[in-house]
Amino acid sequence: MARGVFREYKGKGLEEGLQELWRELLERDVVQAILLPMEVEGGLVAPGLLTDAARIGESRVVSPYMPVNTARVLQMMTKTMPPSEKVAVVLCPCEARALVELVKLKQISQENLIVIAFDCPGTYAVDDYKKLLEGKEDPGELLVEKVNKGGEDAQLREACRTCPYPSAPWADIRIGFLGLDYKKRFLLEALTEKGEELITGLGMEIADVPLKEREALLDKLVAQRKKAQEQLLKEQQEQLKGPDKLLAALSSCIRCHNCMTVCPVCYCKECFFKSPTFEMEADRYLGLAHKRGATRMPSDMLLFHLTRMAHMAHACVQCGMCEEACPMGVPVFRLFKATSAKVQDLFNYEPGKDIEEEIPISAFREEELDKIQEPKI
Amino acid sequence: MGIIKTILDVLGLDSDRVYLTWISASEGPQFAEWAKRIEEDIKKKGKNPLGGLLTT
Amino acid sequence: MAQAKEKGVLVIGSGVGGLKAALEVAARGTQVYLVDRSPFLGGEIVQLERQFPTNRCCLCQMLPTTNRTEEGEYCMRRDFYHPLIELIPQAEIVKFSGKEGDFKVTLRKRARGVVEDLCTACQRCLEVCPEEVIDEFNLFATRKAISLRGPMPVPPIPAIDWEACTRCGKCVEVCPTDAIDLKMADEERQLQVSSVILAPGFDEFDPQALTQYGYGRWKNVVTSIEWERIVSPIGPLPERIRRPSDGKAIKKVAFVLCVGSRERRWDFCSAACCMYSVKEALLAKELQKDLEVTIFYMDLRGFGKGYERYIEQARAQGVRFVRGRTPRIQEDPKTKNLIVSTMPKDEVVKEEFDLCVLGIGQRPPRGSAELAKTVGAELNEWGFCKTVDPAGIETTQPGVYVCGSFSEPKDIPDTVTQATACALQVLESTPEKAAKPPKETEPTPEPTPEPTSEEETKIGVVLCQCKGEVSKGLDLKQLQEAVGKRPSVSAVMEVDALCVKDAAKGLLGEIRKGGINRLVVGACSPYLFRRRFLEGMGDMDPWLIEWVNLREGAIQAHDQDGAQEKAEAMLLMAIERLRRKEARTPSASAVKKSALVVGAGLVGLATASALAGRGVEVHLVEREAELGGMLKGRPDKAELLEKYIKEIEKNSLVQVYRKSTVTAFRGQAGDFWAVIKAEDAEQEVGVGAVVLATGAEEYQPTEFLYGKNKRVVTQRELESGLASGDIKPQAISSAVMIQCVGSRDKEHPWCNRYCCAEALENALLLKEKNPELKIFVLFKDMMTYGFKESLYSRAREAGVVFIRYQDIKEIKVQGTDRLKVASPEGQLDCDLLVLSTGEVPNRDNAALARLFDVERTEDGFFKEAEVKFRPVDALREGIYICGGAHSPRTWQEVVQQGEAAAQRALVLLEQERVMASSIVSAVNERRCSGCALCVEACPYGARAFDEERLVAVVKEALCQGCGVCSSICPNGAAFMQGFSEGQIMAMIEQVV
Repeated sequence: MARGVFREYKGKGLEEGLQELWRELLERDVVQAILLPMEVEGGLVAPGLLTDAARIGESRVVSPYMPVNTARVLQMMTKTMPPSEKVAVVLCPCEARALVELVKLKQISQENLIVIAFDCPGTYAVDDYKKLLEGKEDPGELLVEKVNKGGEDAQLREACRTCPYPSAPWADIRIGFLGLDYKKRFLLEALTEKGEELITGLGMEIADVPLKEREALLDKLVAQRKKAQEQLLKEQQEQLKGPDKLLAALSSCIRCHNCMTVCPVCYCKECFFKSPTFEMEADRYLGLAHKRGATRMPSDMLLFHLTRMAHMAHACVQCGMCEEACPMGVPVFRLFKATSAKVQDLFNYEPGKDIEEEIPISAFREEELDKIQEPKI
Repeated sequence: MGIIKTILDVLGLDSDRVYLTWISASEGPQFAEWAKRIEEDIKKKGKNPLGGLLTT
Repeated sequence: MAQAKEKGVLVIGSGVGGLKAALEVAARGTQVYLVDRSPFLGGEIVQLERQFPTNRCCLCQMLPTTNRTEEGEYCMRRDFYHPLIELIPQAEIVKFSGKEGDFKVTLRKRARGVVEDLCTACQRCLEVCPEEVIDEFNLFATRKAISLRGPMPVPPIPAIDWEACTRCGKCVEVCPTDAIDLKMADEERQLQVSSVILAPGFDEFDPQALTQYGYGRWKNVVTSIEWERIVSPIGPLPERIRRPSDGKAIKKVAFVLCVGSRERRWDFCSAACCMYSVKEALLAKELQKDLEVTIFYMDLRGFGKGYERYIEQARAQGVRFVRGRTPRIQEDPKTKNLIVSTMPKDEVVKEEFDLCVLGIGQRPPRGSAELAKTVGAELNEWGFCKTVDPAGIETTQPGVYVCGSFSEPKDIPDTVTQATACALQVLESTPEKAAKPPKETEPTPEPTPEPTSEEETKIGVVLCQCKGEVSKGLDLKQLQEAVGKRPSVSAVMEVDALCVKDAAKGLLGEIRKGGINRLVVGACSPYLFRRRFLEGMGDMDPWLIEWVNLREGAIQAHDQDGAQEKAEAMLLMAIERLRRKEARTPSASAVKKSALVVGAGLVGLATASALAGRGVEVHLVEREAELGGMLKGRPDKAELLEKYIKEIEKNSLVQVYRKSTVTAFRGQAGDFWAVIKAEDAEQEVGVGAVVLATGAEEYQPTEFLYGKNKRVVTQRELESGLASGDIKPQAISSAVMIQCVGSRDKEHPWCNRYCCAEALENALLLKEKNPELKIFVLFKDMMTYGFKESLYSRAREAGVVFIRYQDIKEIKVQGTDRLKVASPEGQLDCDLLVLSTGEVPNRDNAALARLFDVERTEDGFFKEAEVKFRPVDALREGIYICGGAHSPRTWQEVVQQGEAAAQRALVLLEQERVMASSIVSAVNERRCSGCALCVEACPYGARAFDEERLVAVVKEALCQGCGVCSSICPNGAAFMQGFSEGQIMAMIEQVV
């Protein structure tokens, strides 16, 4: 069951059906701009801020490719000043979840934003996606069809294959097309008041809609993904655990900080690791070298990753952008996924689930985490 | 602390080398006791396995 | 710190009450002489490590919270310091003359046997002394004839127990500084003081007098204070929670309460034993989960704020409570177990325990009768000090005041509140002060921050040989070499002993000559002589002096090699930290000499009058048209109210706002801004402090036919009715009183403190007017703490029948003209039913808490900064809480609390400006991402979010330097001054 409305469309494909929705939003002046994936020169996709209804045809929401986590874009856009016009932002679930975390951290202002999260069957790495684009059929529509039939594409990014959130847990509006007769209609589901206003603004009436089939399909898909996730965690424990294996995997890291730059929840204005604390004098490096006999330069690479994990593990939405950005093939995503899954279990916290929920590290409890403490003597 | 210990556990870096306990200012002997215990513990565990490695 | 302005104040006794009174008097710029009979400071509290209901120590919460540097940042269990407090141990008054405002006092100071200025606290004398006597600190252990009390007493100088000392001279031989003088004579000293505060505390009752408990005969019967030591981390036995007879583990322990209290001979309640026993039970269970604890009690007197919940917590942890007096304890000679006989009902029940703790009561301290006689203060029938004012502070001798258990047995929060109020009264009676016109706000020049000098950092390292103690344990040559070549170190100096008076002065010349601007001192524990050293260092900023503990920290803790290694590492760490330290520029903000008092009930009036009486401009805001709060319209309290209202009306410094509320509020201690809204006008005011005296509300009963039958009234209505003559005792044949209506139940888990006494007073009054009148009191626990107990006894003697109920739901009331009350002991017929109703939190508290940014307790009252040691301060500095807004209490207690709140406000308001302390957090704005995690995390409200610049800002005056902000900040934008990450990293690199 959900509060919402089915939007029927005629014609060719889901993308066009959605494009009609965007057009209507702009033409009816429900919003003045839409931030959504658009086709860029050369056929790839990137977030675009769209104001002219005439260019709706360039939008590519169904396209299974994610170059950046758009929450990061929104931080840039809204942190210092929210937009003066209404903007709909169209996000995939991991982007919407990152947005929730950044709102909690005052990095994104919700003012004048309407968050629309669409179902995401998964995305491909850039090279794979480029190859798929060479085929005849639209890779997006193909993937939606495949997943809707209960299938899974082994070529998807690892982050997507192990993602238990094909549908976003929080948004103002959820757009659903998995587990539905998606060639004829898609679902507009209102989760907040803002969401309800948007639907009524389009002249549609909200009702309770039964979603048995959709729920069944999503349950199945989530179960499948969780299984894959278990497998990944198992592999991490086998292949990446212990000083030798861990350092072997990290040894190619060149400390370029790309993983940090693309991470949507790594929100600091200036990273500690780019601060003067780590601009050490020669003597301090020499001191290190003297103590150990030799030290790799620049040092503190393991410390960098551990620190990032310590700060981000509770908020990590596991979008995998870090690994996409790594030029050296470090399995950053696997390591983050494994650690953050455990940390989130520890606090019983799912990032992105609820915009009102307190961040576990700032919530003070008199009695907590007894196990961490050594016994009293 | 919970976060750090969990991360070290997952990565297989000996989280038992990190200790947390509360000792009040009036509990001097406890403090000394812990210092001794930790020293013994660490001696038993031996050198830091990361200590001699180049990449850290 | 300010110079003492007038003649000083003498405080007798340095327990909690004396310490607090001394600190409060000194905080207002008056010299204090703090005298104790014992060679060491602190009284009973030093033996109690943790307090209820927080189960923490928190003693340091008594220290100044604003403008604190040296006098505010230390552990009170090992140090005590205030520039205006002179500590005089081992002294007693021998002569006393003069009058209020001008007393002449002669003290006799007993010989310590150790010259304080020479002693280095090396404790070698303790090692060689052959005489052992029972240690009054650890009780089951022994101490030497020359000894300290506890591990870190104040002062840290040993004292000779002349009764135990055989003058063998071994200590004299071993003393490296010739500090011991076995021929030292007692000294006399004259003081001139304006007033005296008696705070000699209490003695524990000696239960040997009660042979039925076998104390002294059965080894496993111990007193509560002995039990505190048995479970203490620094207790006398090798392991904690072992019994004294055989050192065996304890599985079952019994607490027997009211030992030496509440008997015909001692017809008072010691007020603290119920709760400390619950605490002792809980602390022991924390250490040993499977410990079975049973508490045998008569009435469970958890009448303080939050105590009812604390008792619930104990119940939930499995502590068993059994009601009934304990007639006898016997020992099983074989097992040394104890058989406790109790009488929960009418028959005796026996149960076996491993150990028995006697909850012993409070007695007037030894020597207090002589003390009272010397100063001319009268005692009451039990030997406690008589008081003559409602707040229970003034003795019969004008100019001599009392606080703590010597005036009436009490627990710590009540002692601290009374001591605080005491300071207010004492300073009022200082004639110069009282006569002083309201302070001119002569603007003293802003303290110009030290010019941020570009001068080169030159560190001097001073190594103290400690009269051979350190030079014997460490290779100082090698240390000199190791530290001498470090960057920024320009000189290394060795001295014979730094603690010797004026030792620093010789050093100063060398330091000046070498242009040294920072110091690392390697000596003994900083708690011992650091301050004596600093006094000799002239204008050198203590912030730029690092202290390294070589003697205790290295030599005494390790073998020779280990000590050398550690000494070097500690010195190198100190050098690295000091080298990277930024010169501090503490911020200061001016203090507005005015106060906002919200609420003009009894406590608001008392506070406003106290403040205005000391020259503070007061804005008194009252929601209603009439002043008086809950007491208005009550004929029995009319006179009391009238007195305060008159005082206020004639004082031009008080501006009263009727039918008004505060609608906006912001700012920080010393500089708040508020909007007061009346019916048709709004006014902005700037104030330095705020007193929340917004009161509580009377519980409106709906049960027991109240409101439906006019024969059902509340205690207050009965009182008014008797005063006005509307209720005629002669016309009543029997009356029933029901206690705890709307209190101590699930929805209202607190005791109101006054309803039991009020019911007893009314019952006695009824009996007096009509002795034939039958009175039944239905009650749960009779909360007649302290001297109120005698009301209970008198009521029983007068024939009032007391019937205990378990659950108020057992009681049913029916009928119209003649009421039928179904009680646990059958039906009672009566023609007057009196409900003892309590108070519930003001319905506006939630909104007020938001407006003033203060916290509320689970029960909905305002929360104090610390239950025991800061009972009238809100956590937000500059806001004080008293009266029903704080918690329900008797009107006398309310007046006392109002005076305490006024005193706390005055401490702030009499300062020119609020200075931040040195260790405060700061923001690196360039790095701050504005996520506000630190704002959420700060427990003191010292961080705020700047909505315009999108960064966190620090209110330095509120910052207590706890460091939570810097640990939650992901990128070091929040940091602690003096503990920056660069400093810490560099320090770590020196040791690993």
